[in-house]
Amino acid sequence: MKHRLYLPTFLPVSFPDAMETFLEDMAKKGWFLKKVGYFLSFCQFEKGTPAPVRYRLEPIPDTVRTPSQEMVQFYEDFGWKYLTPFSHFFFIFVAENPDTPEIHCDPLVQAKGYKRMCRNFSVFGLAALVLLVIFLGIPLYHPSFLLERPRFSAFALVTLLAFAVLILWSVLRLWKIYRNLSQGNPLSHHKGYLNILSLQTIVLALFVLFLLPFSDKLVEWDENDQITQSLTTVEEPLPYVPLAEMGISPDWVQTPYDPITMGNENSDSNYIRSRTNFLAPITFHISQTAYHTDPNLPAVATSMTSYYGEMSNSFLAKIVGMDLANLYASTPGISGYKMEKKPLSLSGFSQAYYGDLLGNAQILLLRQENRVLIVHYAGDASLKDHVEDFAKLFTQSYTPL
Amino acid sequence: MALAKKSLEILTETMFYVLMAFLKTDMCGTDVAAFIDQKTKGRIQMGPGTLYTILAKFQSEGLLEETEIQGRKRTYRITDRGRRIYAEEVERLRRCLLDAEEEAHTAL
Repeated sequence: MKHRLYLPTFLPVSFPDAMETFLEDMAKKGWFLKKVGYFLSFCQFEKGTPAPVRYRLEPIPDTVRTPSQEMVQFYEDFGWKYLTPFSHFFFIFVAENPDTPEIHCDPLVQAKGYKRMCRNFSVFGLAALVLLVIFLGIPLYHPSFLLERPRFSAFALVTLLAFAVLILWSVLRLWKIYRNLSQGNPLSHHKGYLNILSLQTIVLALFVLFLLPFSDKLVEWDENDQITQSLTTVEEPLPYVPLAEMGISPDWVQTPYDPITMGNENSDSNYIRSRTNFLAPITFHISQTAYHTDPNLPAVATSMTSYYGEMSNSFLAKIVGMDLANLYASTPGISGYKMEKKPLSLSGFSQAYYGDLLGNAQILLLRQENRVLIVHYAGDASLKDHVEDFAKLFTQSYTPL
Repeated sequence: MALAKKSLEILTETMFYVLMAFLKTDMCGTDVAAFIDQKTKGRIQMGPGTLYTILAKFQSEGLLEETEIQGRKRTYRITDRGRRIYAEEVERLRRCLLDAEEEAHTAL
């Protein structure tokens, strides 16, 4: 039985010289390449007597995966045996006789093959970069995600950027090879591959860690940043206006859960959620709900949700404020509804506007540099009449729970 | 010598020798390599990658044409256009050489 060895190379196609050196080093140890697998470039080696054979990577002339019989015969007549394709870009040839002439003796002619390959690879690289840009654009489209999952976002961002750098690195390397060849400099067939392998392995490991439960861990750690407490148990000053100040009816009660159905006793609907992280040192999400006491009326009588955040910078406060305001403004079941923003004249604020939603819901957004407050209110009162109360919240300082 | 971008205005050294190989007789790839090896006394050892690319290019540019296919072996012959381009290149090289010699004499 033949001894076989399977090795993933992880060597990118932009380093044909490193791949040649790697295969020749393996042959010197008695492991001879038989074929290269499509996924992860798994190389299949067979054991033999160590020999100083030469391997050469020839750019594939067009889109075929196997060379023509004529090409194979042509190279064989010169002592070069066709072995296997390597990715979509190279055919691998081997010469066992040390006297066999090199495959190429004219760099300018060899450059022709690389030019076609550079163009194809650049298109592939460009498509990959467009996808990366789309991925990177998601947090910008929904910036509050960055605050909810800062570790996960940072990790995803770094991983994607690493891939973008690798792709660009490969494209630039191929163009460099082409430029050198077209200037008449022959291609080197000896290049260290261990440093390239190390870098590729690190990136791959990062990717695997990202796919494996590590990403869940990051999400879990992100979630551990937040503390949720019943609103009644907190004594420190909090950035919210109590529902009672907006006006409350004798027919309503502000209890942790619906007093009539007694549904979901474990869930407190009057709570405060405090979160702190490097992007937003202080954020509070405060939910208040009052219920009807009359069982013939809808359970929820009035409610108010407030989000208050002190961000690391005013730009972040601005985009997160806009993002949350849009999120609060979305009306379930009514797609395409656009809230009309009405600016408020309020001195000392970088942004202040009010919005009327369908039904009796309203939105208020106030921003003072890096501090932002977004309020969603459903009730009989008008948020506009209480703007001063909300503005006063900015005169105090708050500490996370 | 530089590789011409669009047409074959200037031939590289290996391209020049490939055309030269066909002046007297039709040849296949290995014959061309043997001719160049012998003509340049081993200075240029033609490799299959370079020769395969040049033959394909010369064929597409109309400098060579296929005459015979024996099994997987193909034989080519030079066309009139190929001879004309070869002659122009010889003339260009001759002028270069004359210039160089003239410059060398005046320098002495």
